Amino acid sequence: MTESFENETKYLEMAIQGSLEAFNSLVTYYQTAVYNTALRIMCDEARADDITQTAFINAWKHIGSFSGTFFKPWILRITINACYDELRRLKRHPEQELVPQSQDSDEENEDAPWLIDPSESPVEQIERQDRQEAIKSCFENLPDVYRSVFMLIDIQEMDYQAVADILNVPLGTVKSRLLRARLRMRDCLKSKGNF
Amino acid sequence: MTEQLSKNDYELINSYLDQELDRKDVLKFAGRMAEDPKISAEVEDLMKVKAMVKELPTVTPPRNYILTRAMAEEARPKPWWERLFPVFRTAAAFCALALAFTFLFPMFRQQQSNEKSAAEDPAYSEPMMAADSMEYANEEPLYVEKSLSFYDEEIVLDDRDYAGAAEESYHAVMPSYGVMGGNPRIEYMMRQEQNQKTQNTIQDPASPVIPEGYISVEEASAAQRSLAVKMILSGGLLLSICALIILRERQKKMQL
Repeated sequence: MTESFENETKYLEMAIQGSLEAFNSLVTYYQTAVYNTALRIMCDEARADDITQTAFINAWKHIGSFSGTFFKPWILRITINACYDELRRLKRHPEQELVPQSQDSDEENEDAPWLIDPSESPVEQIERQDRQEAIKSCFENLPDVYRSVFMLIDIQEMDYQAVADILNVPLGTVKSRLLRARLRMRDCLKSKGNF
Repeated sequence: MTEQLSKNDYELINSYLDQELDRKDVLKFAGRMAEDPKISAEVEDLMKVKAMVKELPTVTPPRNYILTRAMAEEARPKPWWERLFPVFRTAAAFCALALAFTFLFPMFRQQQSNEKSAAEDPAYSEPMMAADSMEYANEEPLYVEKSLSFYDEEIVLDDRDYAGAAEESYHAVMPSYGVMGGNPRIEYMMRQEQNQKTQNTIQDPASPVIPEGYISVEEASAAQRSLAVKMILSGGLLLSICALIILRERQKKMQL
């Protein structure tokens, strides 16, 4: 079941009629989900930032043709399409980073203060950080299409049919890709010793 | 990738984990899970993978992605009727000013015409007011002779007895009818003034005599043109104001 915020239907109707304020209310509520979706697919913060803005601009442009009930599946569909477009563009024109990120950098392992559990011992903190790093690495190593399905179902908690509608694929394809994504994740985590 | 079970079994496991099975299939699968340790091991593994992926933290977006007015208008240009708003506003202002001008201009023109007639026409003189005429009547008649001779040559005054001769002449020629306090001189001057005006119009054959209460054809045409212009401007002003009100209501409906 797709979650929505209170009066979403009312805001949707006003946004369809052209109210920018109503549309921005929807943006404020769903921008975290959209950004995280873009981030997990693109695995790059800068690109996720661009894609998030592009997704909302495209949504505003085509809000008049919206005919669904909930805004989230629709905006995530726009986001994933934007991500796929960007991935296709990158495959055609690979980009070289000016400053390569060091694999051994400890900066990405640092958690924000509010994420640190004060009840954890330092050893537990390190183990948790290693585990998260391994999960992130295995997740990013999944093929794009597997990663999309995995992220929508396990992270965004959407049902199979909604994911099939978002990705515009049959239901059986969703089940198959999800299975393969989870099995690959398991094997990858086992190989890293974090399973 | 290790596959100990069939693809169908794995899909059942996934569906079971994601609560996509109906009640009947859940019970059936639960039975298989209890009987087959491989299935239960796989269920446990995939459940762990699902839980680990949920450990990935939700990243706070680096900024707010709400759209500004400029971004919104660039993505979705205003409808054609909303772009007409400034046009109707300008049209309303123009019609209002032009309408005011059509009412004020004739007044200015009439005032200028009056002033010009008074300055240029020597025969024209403003009708004497009753107070002025009374005042004039009480003054010594220093210039009676000249004025009388201008209006009526039949009255000739005796230079030696200036004032008395004037009074006798008046009484002889023009008895008083009780107007202006019975002063025959004043009555005479006022009647002469009226006659002069009538003569002026008769003496000029180029300008037709227009009875009182009527206007000339040219004046009628000018009045009709002026009325038409006023009606057009009024209609334009009314239409512009109605359009502005409708557009404003539409804009209000679109705002929260």
